[in-house]
Amino acid sequence: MARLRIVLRRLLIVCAAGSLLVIAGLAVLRVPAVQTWLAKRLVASQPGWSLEAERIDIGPGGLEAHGIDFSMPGLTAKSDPISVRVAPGRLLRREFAVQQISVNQLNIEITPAKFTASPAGAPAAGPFTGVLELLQAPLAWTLAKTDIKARVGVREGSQTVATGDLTLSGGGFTPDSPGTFTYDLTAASALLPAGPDNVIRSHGTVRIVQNATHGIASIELKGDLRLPSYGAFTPPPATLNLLVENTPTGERYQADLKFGDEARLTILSSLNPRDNYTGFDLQFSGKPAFLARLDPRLAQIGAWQAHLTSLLNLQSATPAPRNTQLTVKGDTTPFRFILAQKDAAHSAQIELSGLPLTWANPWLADSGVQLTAGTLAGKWLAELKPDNTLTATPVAPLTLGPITLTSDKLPPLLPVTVALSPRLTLSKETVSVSADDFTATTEKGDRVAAQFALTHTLATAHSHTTGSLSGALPTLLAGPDHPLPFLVAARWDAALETDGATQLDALEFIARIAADSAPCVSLSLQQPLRLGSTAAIASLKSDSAQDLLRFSVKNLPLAWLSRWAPGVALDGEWAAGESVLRHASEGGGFIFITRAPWSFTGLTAISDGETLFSGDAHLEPEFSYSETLWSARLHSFAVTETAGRRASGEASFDWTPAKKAFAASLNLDAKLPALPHSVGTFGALDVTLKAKANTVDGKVAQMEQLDLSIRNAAGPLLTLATTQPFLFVRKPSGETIFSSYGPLRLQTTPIPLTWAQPWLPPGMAVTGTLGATDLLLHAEPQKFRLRPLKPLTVENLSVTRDGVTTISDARLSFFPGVDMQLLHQLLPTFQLVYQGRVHATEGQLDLGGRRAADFETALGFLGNPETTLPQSVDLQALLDLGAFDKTREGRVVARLNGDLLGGEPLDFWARLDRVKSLPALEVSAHGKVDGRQREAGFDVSMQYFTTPVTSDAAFRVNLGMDSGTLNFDSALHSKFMDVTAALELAEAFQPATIPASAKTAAPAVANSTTSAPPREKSKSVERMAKLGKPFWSVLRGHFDLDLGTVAFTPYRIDAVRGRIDVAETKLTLSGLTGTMFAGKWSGGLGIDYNPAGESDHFLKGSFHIEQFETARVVQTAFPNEFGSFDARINLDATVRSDGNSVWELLNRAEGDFAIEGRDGVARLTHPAAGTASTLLVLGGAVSFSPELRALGRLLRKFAEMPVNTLRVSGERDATGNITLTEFRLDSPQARLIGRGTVPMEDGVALAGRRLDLGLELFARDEVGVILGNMKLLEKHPGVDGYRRMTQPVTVGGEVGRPDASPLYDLLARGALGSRGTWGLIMRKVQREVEKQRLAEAKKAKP
Amino acid sequence: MNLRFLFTFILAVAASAGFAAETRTLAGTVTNTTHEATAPVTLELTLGDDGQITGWITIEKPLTPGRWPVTGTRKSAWCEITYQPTPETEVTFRGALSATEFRGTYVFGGKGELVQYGRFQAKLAGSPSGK
Repeated sequence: MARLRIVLRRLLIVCAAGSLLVIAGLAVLRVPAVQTWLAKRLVASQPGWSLEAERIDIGPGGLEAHGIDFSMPGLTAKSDPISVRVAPGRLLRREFAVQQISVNQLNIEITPAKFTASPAGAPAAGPFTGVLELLQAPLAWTLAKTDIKARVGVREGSQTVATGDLTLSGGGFTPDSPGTFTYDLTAASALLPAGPDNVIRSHGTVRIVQNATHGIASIELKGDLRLPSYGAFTPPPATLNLLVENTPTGERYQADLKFGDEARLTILSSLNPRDNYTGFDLQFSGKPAFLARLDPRLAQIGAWQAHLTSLLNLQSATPAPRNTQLTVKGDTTPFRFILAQKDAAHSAQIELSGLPLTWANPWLADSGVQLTAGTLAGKWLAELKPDNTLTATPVAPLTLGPITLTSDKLPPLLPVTVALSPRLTLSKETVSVSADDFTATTEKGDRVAAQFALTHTLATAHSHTTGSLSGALPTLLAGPDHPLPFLVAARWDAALETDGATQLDALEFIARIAADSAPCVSLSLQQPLRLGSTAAIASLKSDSAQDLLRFSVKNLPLAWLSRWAPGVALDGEWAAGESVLRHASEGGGFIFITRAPWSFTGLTAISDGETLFSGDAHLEPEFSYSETLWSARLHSFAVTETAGRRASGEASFDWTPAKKAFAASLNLDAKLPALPHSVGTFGALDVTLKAKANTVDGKVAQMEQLDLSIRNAAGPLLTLATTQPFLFVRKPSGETIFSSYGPLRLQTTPIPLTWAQPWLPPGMAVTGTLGATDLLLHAEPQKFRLRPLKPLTVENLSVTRDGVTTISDARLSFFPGVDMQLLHQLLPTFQLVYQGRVHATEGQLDLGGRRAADFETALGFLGNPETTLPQSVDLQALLDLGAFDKTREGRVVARLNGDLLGGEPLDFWARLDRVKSLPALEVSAHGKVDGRQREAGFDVSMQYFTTPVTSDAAFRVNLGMDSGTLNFDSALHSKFMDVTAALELAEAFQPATIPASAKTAAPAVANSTTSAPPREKSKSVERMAKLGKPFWSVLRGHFDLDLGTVAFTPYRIDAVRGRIDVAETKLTLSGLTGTMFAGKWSGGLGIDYNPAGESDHFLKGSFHIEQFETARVVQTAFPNEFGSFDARINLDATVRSDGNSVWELLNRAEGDFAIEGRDGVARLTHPAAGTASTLLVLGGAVSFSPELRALGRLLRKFAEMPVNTLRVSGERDATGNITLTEFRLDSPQARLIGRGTVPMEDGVALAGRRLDLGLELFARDEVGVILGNMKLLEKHPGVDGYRRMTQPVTVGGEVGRPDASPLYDLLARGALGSRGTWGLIMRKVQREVEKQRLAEAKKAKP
Repeated sequence: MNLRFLFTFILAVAASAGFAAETRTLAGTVTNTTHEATAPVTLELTLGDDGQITGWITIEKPLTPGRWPVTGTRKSAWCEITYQPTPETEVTFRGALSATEFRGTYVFGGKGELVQYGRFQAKLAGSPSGK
């Protein structure tokens, strides 16, 4: 028992110890340090794997890890921390439940290159059984929640080529329900262009389904995808759909990538691990918009599709394709590309068909050449030989055609069809292309056959080509309409060396007209030739006396060149010429020497039926090239025209590359029988030109000599000569400036202006002589000055247009001058601007031997090659108007100064004087040009120095620079305006009138018995020609009138207000008001323009004067008169007129008027009312007879006759004659009724014009008694009590000073019987006075 | 004899009184447009009724400063005056002379040099914008 107890105790001890050991062991295992150590050991047991960790704590509830640093071949991962929480109790139900995985700051670096390198000792990889197969688990598992943030980097060597940030969250993954995770991926790569937006972004969901065997049934990813721009290509936003799922036989893979509506990529594949091969099906469809993102020119390809099918052996270490077929085809074009691989052979059929050649057009646009049709097709068998040589052997010829080129620069070309069988061989060492059957043909017989071979050695970059061609080109050069049989043959053998040198071992070209004829063009290499660097050339240098290349021409017809010179018909022959290329005697260069001069015979050039050239030409060119000197020379050239013109000379140009220096010279002698249109003016001319230029130093070049002389039989016509060299300096900016030590002198002799006749407008003829000129052209850096040494003159100038002489016997003279500044820059684009002034000083214009104008002017300008703008002007002139038109007088001094672009003011001032005896007129305008509005605004003031008060006007106008109209919208201010004087001035500049079709005489005077003294009658009417436009045609707008006084001699209107509106065809004066003769003056006026009428201007207006004082009217004309009628009366008048000018409208105005007055005084006095006798009678101081006393009482009544009413109405005709249709004056004792006329008298105011008024007098009361006693009245009164005078009387005199003499004569007869006249009665009165005086004297004698 | 002298003297005085002269002083600027330089100018012009002009011109820097006598002629408002800065050179002003302003262009030449061009503008002292 005891032993048992001992045994039990020992057993218990052992168990307890064991338990303690287990517990201790478990306790030890729970120690994180132990766990960390164990994890490291466990990981390190895998070949190539390692794990470093600060702490790993695995407990019943999960795992906590810190400072993890794990690495395996191709992958490293670091994280801090990782937390995995599991539910251990679920393990009892054979379920691994992960409640949450939290991973932050997980950094993973992948090095793909190291994946393939399996570490030593690693087990061999088994067959690939699928992606999902790798994700099998022993237990059913759940994942409730995931929160992972990781950064993944892909490394290549020591560099990270791609990085990505991935966040993954979600969960809910159980055996019974799919897990849904949201991902967000941002990836950047060094392969992408730099830029913040150039990253790949994808956002979406991942749905994972667990299958019954605890594996993954499917993984489906749906998300959006935004790919970065790559170069010019910016992909549209895309959607991504990936699916990996189990199938009964393996796995199925599907990818669908849609770029909106523009493109779609679909990949399908199924994996059956039991099959060696896995099929892939890839389809891509694209629309034009998708390709246009890459290059807009690709849109022309249209919609297209690509389909790739292939079988891949995924079980093989290096998956090899089998039965691969790629088809690319267009939806809208017949284009097809097919690559077909049969079985697993290393060969494939490549077929290309229907490729439109027009697809090349967008890339040819800059060349000006376009293809209008044609396709490309070919078929090859591509084979990869055992020696790794890839060959492409034609199965069918490569055809291109028809190739139809169109170009504005080229003549129409026949379509060309090209066929060849190019064989391509590509090996590690060489690339070679060869064809033995190249043909290019047209339907008109052009055919070139060729064979060629080109081999390029990759290692040495050496290329070698050989070949030959032969054929006939009857239409290519000469055109299909006039085929010229050119037979051509050529062969070559050339190599392009690594150092860029080209070696020609054989080169020959021959062109001939017929197979059995001698070559017309021959080019042949005489010995091997090397081109390139100096050393390369020198390496094959031969004796400089030996020919390298020989070029010869003999009897080459040139008519075919017409095809290449549109609009010009060329003919002739390149008769002979031979030149050779040789090595230069020194250095590694060449020289091209003409052994037999190039001669051209029978050359003609005709354009539009006009022969441009007809003759022969000979030239002897020489070109040389070496490392130290390039030169081109014409040792001699001569051009001889059949018309006799001949030019000959020599020229040279040398360029020294090392110094960047040139030297050039030209000597030219020409004999010209006559220039066009100059046979009769200049005759035969000799032209000599000598020019030399060279580089002085680096950037400085000089025109050492420039002498041009044109002479005719009489001597020099034009000479241009340098007095000292001209310098051209190239500035560091690339700008070239031009300067001269001394000026260039240009002299010409007198030139008849008839020489310019062919260039004048049709109908225009100019005669006269341009005098000799002598000008200096001086250049400073960026500045040029032209100065005269003598005035420029034009003598005996006469200009006629359509037979009408506009200028005759004129002489123009002035000193011309130009200051000009040029600025230009070369980069980034060439730009040139200039600024300057043109001067004409001491200008004089004589017409008919009389000085018409003196003038000085300077016109500033600026511009560029496209536009020239006037910038400023300083112009002043003195004009004698009589020299321009002998019917006129006057002198004008005018000036215009200022800025024409608006920067500074523009100022105009002019003075007109000596117009007959009229006062001077001054006009000034001050304003600015507004270039943007294309107008100029001016404040205008005018002063007309009338006496005793100066007339003035001020207003503002805008000049429309494009329309040429003056627009005003302002007030017209004036203190005083003498309209009469203004009209007199304006009339002096009236255009000539034309005879009227009829004359209008003054109307017959009704009842006129007077014989007024002959005075100037109205002038015969002469009509002016139609203006054809309103006389205000250049005016637009309105003026508010603010006029102090408007004087129209002898009348005046004060305080005139109103408005002038000027429209295109209507001028209106409205709201006119003022004061006139102490009355209120008002009115309105309109003038219409109608070109269809007999006259083109029509005037209509009305005027009113209220309560004006008639006495003032009379006293205005007769300051010492009281006036025949004194009252305040109203005047209403309408006026209408038609005419072709303002003056015609005024002169031809006709109208109606009506005057009405009340409560005034009429004075019917005798012209001799002031004589002593009349005064005696009036005064009654003498004891006359009863008749005379009665007469005295009557005269007193007439001398101051109160008026109840006065009414006058009438009309004015177009010639100014006034007809009084009614005259009625009512006074308490007398009534006057009559009719009459006021004939037109030029220059005479109305009050002073002749009056012819027939009156009937009615009387009553005292006047009636007196006249009745004188037996001058009818016996019986009328119903109104008035008795009519037995005979009418006529009142003459002037309107403002009527002459009632006939009435007084009648009264005299009434007083003295039928013998009496007013003169007799006055003499009788005088005698009576004398008698009484004598009687009184006798009484007074003692 | 004395009477004859007196008569002649009276005639001369009367004649000179008949050709009354007017003197104007104008100030402004003169610009050499060939070399783009502007300087103040003062013109003191005596305008005779016979159309002759005499006077002085004063030009300041930056043009060659100095004061020189001028002579010239006038036809209506057309006016031309000349002065010689040096014995070899001559400057001629031509322009329009109004009651308040003389404005126009000028030419400088002589001494075998290229002609230089310019413009001028001078106003009566006290007139609007006059200097």
